[in-house]
Amino acid sequence: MGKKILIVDDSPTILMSMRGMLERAGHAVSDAASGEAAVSVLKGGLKPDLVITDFHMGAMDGIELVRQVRKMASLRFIPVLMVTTESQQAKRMEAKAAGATGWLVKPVQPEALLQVIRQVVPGA
Amino acid sequence: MTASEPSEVRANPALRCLAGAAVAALGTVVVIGLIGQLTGWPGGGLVAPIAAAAAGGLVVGVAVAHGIPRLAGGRLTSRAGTSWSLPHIRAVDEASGGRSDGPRGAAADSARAALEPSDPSAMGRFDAVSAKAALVTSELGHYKELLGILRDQVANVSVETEGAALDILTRLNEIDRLVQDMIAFLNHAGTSARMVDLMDRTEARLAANRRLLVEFRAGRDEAAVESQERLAEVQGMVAELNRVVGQVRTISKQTNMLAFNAAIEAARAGQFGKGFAVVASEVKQLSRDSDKAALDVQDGILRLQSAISVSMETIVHKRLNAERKGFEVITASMSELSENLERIISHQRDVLVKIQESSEMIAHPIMALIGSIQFQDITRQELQHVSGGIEFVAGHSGQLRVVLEDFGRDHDLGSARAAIAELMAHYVMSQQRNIHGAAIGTGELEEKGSLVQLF
Repeated sequence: MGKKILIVDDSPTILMSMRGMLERAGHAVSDAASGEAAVSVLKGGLKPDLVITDFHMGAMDGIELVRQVRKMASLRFIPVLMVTTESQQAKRMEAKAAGATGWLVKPVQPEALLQVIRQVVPGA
Repeated sequence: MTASEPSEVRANPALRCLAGAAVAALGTVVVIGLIGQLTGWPGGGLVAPIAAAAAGGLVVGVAVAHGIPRLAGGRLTSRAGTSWSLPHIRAVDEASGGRSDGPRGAAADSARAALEPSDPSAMGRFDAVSAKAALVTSELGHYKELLGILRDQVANVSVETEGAALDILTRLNEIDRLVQDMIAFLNHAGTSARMVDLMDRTEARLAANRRLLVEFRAGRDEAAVESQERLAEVQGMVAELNRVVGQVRTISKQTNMLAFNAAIEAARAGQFGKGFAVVASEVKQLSRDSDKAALDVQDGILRLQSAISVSMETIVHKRLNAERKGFEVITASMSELSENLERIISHQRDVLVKIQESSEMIAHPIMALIGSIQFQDITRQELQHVSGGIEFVAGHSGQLRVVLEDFGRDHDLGSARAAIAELMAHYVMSQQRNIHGAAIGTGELEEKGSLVQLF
């Protein structure tokens, strides 16, 4: 069943690639090119079933975005996946501590992404 | 970034001078060499000769820089461990105004003046070193422009690959959409109720036609048998009529014989038998007429029997045989039509299934390609680090030029070694750190973590 998914990444390539994979699987996709833009659309009323965010993004990175999402009452428990090139285990633990749900390393293949989504989003 | 205490270059041991030069050159080689090794980016081939040239230039430059302070009694301070600040580097570079006229200033003049009367050979060495320093300073002056070009080239690679990646993604998404449309169409065509209904109705109609033909043929066969039975009845009736005609002729002959006897008896009676003789004559004529009529009837019956036999032969046998053969041809054609239709339907289904399977096989790698295009973002990040390295080398070469131009003063000189460490600190991918470690000969290989981890 299609879900509402917000993708956050400062790379147009990643946004288009992820959008293609997710829309093909029947999900409704919104995107934001920065952490600040993502926070803005979420505060504007967007209620996604899942947030997928990059780690390294300009001023507001993925960790901070996770923290901001967890502060929003209506989004406190939605899954947030970090999709990044970052490979340091310490960064993963930092993301976990901030409240991220999972960690995927770029490039992400469709099967892997969709399988994780089915695991973390009920009914997906 | 590693930290170390400021070091002072003292006295003039040639070995120490060369060692210092080698360290600086090694640092430069490593930094610039790393640029080429980081990602194998398209400009890597250009970086390698630049790195070699920079290394050579800096060997001489730093050797000179280390030598001149000794002669001038100046002091060169290296601030290894100080974080590089590009704005600071640019400010130093701009302060020099791009001049490249070699060592200058009061310290140099006074140093030369101090040497001239007492040590002519030192004066000669001083002038030689000054000339080389001027040459190196002049060369270093071009590095800003050269490295600026490289930085712009690297930036352009990012821009171009991103544009190409987006274009590829757009086309892949379009191809995927077309493939999905085709799969949906094939699914619909293969299971379409209308299609199935049409095929079922066609097959049912063909089967009904075959049954009609069989029934019609059976009816015609029954009609032929019935006609033959009727013919046998007619022939029986004709035989009966012939028998009756024969009886009539027998009666006629007996009557004729009776009339003959009556004529004889009438003649024997003489005058009294004349009237009777007339009657006998009439009876005889009647007998002849009756026999002739019977013969005519028999002839007509025989001709009628012949005509009926000929008609039955024509109608029942020849025509029915022709119809039977026609029915056989039609039945065979109908059967062939049915079989061909079934073959066509079966073939069409096979084709649909094959196209559907092929489409799904195509769709899978297309989606994988859409995922793989993410390599562009990885390359972009790696090129950003390359650009950072180029920025550092540009700034550092400017600093070295300033040192050469004004060797009489103390200078805050950034550390290439510290820059290498800083470069390492900014990597995000294990392969970047592994390549870096392999290039400088230190560090252990970092294993890639799991690609997917749920917390």
